[in-house]
Amino acid sequence: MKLFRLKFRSALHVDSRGSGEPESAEEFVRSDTLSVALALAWAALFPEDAPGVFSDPPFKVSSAFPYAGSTLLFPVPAWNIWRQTARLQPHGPKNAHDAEARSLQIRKDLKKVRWLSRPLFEQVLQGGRIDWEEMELLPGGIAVSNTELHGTELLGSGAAPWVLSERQRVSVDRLGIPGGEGLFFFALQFFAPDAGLFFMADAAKGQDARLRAALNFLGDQGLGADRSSGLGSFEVRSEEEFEPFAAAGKGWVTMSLYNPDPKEDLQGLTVKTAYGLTTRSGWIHQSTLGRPPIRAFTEGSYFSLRPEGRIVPMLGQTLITELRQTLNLRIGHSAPRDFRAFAVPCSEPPELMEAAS
Amino acid sequence: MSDATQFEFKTRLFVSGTITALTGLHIGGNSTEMAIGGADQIVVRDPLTNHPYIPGSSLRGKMRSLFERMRGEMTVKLDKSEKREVTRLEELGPHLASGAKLKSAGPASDSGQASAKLFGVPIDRQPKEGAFIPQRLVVRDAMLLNADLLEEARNTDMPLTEVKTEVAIDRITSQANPRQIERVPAGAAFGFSFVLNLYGKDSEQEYLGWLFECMQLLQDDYLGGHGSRGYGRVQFDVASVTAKTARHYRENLEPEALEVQVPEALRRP
Repeated sequence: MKLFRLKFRSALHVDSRGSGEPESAEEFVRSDTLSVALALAWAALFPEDAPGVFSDPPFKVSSAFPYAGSTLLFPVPAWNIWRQTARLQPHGPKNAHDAEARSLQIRKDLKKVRWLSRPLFEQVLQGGRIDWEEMELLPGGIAVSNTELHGTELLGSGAAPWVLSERQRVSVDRLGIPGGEGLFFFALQFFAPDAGLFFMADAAKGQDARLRAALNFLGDQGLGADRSSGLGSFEVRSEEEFEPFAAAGKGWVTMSLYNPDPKEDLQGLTVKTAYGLTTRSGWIHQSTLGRPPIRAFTEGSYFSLRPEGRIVPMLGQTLITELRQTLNLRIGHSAPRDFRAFAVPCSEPPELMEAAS
Repeated sequence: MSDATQFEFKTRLFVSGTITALTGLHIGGNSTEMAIGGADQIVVRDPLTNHPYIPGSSLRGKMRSLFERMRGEMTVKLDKSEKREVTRLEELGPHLASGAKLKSAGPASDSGQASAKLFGVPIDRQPKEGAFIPQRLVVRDAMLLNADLLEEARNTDMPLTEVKTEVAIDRITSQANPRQIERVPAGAAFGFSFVLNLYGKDSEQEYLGWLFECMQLLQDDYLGGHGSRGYGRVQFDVASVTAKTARHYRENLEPEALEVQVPEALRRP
């Protein structure tokens, strides 16, 4: 398994929810977006591999999550990972009213946490829960352990490693005709010089060099929207071997989006489960066609068996033929979308055991 | 020739160097971020470093607009009585003479025109038949290079920028209406980077020639707001032109320097 860190040369705008609202954007790149972008780059460099690279990509990727300095950040899992109430009494205020107020404040703060550093995330994968007293909550919803904070300059500075900001933009009529102008806002994610996104990848045997080439090509081309204005351009800051997490358990946690294949043992997968759901939508490449919305399990979902997932064609052959004949569209592919699971081993979460008992 | 071979990736050219403000430069930021005591019109800044920069969209939009106007290549819509669109300005005369009125004028979308080839065509205006027209020119954000110099400058009023007060005077009552405009001062230097994606049989010389034309047009015009009052005069200095072909990516090679005749006007003396 490889881990790639991307350093962005410019701001980034990704929004694959099909909202059509440029003023909103996501702060990380989902696996289906990354996978199809890599497939497009792969097909541009190795045309002989197309169209197979779309329908059966020779690689599997996680979603691309943020990093800050040397700290990798992982999404908060879908189950309750906090143990704050147990720790409140011995160290908290003596007065009952104050204790309740403090408890409420802590619960509010915990809701802000979106990212866990690797040590905290591993602790969760090994079946533990995180103690509020042993972590620090940083701007951007980042939780790190107390000890980590002191060793990390970027996080220790207190400044956010990335910022989502809106840029005001205007389209101007070429001849200055009144009413032809348009003012709009565009969401942009800016990264600090030592921050960016990372993802994990598994390439098919002998395909590592091609994956690297496709990634470099994609970096110069850009990822996400408005690439012609330079958005989403990146360089590969590092490529390293990534050891899977050392969790002794039968369960699995997704690091990508996941849509189950009907052939999978759905009952076995969900004996114990905790999950989030999202709807993926957007546009089909080089067309004005919207993608049919599709539901997927989010990153950080827990399953009791290893999830596999599937590649989902967005357009059926009948529809493609119809579009070609009636609308004269040049769509010649089914616009496959990658919802295969990139999962890591995980112990059974204690909360789920409690719920089951 | 099929679509696939016509738009098979050929090479990617990287043109980079410095763009220097010769006069105060104002590219507007969000007015909602205005602080008390600040300027009425602020410049766009990187929210993390707080450094002013030139957005790629501003640079690209201005170059495209000038290139289209110079060549008379744009999509002009006429009022409802005249449903036709005109894609060359020279063809507009007879329509106006017959009483048609202008409705709007947008980017060029005629696949045979240089503007459309260089800047691409919006997806909803792509030709229904024939080849897809990709966007070839990518213009990246130009980030500030000499922040240290501006920080030490004695005449900057806000971080790295100056505030120019302008006054509009009522012609009859002589009442003054002052306003403060934030500007990046003359001498500020930004690193620019243009990327040209070439496909199939695209000619490097032809596309580079168009790009250099765009840059010269911009130098002779202005960038950002208030150009009619002297703002936004800029000077390019092309430092390097390099290329990466598919082979460079496949074999993980460094880009190659290209021997290109850069116009004298795009080199700072």
